[in-house]
Amino acid sequence: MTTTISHLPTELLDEIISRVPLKSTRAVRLTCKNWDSLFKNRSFMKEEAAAKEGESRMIVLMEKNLFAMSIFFSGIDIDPSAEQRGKLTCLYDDSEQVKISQVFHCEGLLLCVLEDDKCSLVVWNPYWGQTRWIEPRYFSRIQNCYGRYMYVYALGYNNKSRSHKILRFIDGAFDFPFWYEIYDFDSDLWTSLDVTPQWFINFPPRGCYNRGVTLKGNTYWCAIRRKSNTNWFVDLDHIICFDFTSERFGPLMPLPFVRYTSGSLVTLSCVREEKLAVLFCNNATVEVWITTKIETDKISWSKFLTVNMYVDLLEGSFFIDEVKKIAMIFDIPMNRETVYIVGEAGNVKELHLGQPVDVDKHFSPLFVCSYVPSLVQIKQPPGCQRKQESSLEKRRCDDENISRLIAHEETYVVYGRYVPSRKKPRYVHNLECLIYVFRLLFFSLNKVHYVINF
Amino acid sequence: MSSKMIVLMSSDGQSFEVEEAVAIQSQTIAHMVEDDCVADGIPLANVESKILVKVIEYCKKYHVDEANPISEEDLNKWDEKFMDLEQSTIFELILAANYLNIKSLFDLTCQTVADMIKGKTPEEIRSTFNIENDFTPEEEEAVRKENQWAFE
Repeated sequence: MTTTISHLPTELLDEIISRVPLKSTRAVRLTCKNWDSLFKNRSFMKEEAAAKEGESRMIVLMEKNLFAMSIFFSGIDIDPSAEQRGKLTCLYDDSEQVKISQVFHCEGLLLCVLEDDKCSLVVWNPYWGQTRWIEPRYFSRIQNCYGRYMYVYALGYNNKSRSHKILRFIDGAFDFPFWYEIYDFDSDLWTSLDVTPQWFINFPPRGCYNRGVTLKGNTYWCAIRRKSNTNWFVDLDHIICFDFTSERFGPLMPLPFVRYTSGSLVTLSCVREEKLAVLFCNNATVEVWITTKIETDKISWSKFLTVNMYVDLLEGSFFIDEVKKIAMIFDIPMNRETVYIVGEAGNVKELHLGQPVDVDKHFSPLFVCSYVPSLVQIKQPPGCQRKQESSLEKRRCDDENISRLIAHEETYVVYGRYVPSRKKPRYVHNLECLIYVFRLLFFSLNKVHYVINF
Repeated sequence: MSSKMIVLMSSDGQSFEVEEAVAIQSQTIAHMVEDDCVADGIPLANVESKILVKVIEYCKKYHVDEANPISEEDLNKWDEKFMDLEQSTIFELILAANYLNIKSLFDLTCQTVADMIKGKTPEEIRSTFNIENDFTPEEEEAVRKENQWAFE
């Protein structure tokens, strides 16, 4: 009798399948029923333990594609290396691949914002493979001067019911109306939220999205206090939290450093789903602080790392390793995706993720988030059940809000607000950016002038 | 210097004399030696002679000390040649390594099979390992849908 693979007992087959790389998951599951069931029942502990010594696993958004990647860093004497463990492919997509403009992580679930006509949202659990597609109610085509749509997104959950929700908003700069709404996974409904913000979250610091970080179901952003003569660049020294349980924003809380110069970068990161870290970079120094205590309305910090580092960060998403006392900072110097690994002693190692500089390459954001696999099942929307009808009053209010947005959008266009076309050559894009910035300055100066003369 | 020898007996009645130091790479055998029940030889009811020969060959190679120095690179090359076997032999080696509790051999054999799976389409995997596709078209479609998004 020849021994075949089917003669092996389940636990040994499990050992083999757990050694098959991520890229072959789909093929394994489609081989036969036994393998599919084996895969679904595979040991979660083994998956978590599979990361090797010195390996950091993460999800990387690079050139609008999503990758599972590992960075290997064993010490300052050894050169770090990166391994691309897989690239997101979508079976039912007729075009090449799914293009993603933003990605957010919440305890094993990924919220992906697609770059399609409707800015569709997809929530995905890579561990199981499940996806859930969500259509926004209304989509404004307004972009800021960097060609980014002005919506801000967050994925979180109600801490009591553990049901997930998505927050989506524009908190507007310069007279654009606010728009806040929340999507509930259980009811499959979007509801408008009544918020009058005393802050700005949705501004473009240095050209990238101001990304929130979700910790324990709630999302945190860097924010600035909204004042009539707000100076964006200096006042970004607060942090704010959206509590998905109460569906409310908390108070503005100060960040632990003082910004003296304009143009410095502040970004947030999640540390092992327990703490937050904040990175502050001006041209000469990189500081990382870590929370010692964190709640939706109160945070205390301690300094983790200070490095004298002459680097001009544009994106700055990062991780820290508390044990090794290092920070891994992801950025795109000269349009090439790079990781800086910085340690306390000021030593810096560079590792390139992308191809060498390509002058024709359009600027594309680089974003990295740590990924922690989880067994959370994504509930599908109530299929046959009728959606609960919102009250007539609420419906009218929502329609009014949407009408107001549309009306304002048209006004915005009249004032010559900038919507870049991807087909424009780069120098025209840059020129228009410059004109927009001058317009802003002129507008701000006018306001100051008014205040002085009052 | 004479080293202690022990006798291993395969399921089909063959005996193999092996240095104790080599044999105790198997945790199963190591425990038996500790419990001092090896006087008459160790019967291995689950391991055929054909496979036991290979296991002993592996353990001898991996018994690395001053008398037998070998670099990791050389060991890796040797592993590749060692694993150039028929599929059924590989699976039997997996079973033997599991029964005898030899971690490094177990890892090597499982990884070899995993490498045979990686990079293949489901059809190719089925053809390589002689597996029947027992999905109905609807079931297959359902699994495909569940894996609509995947890292590949």
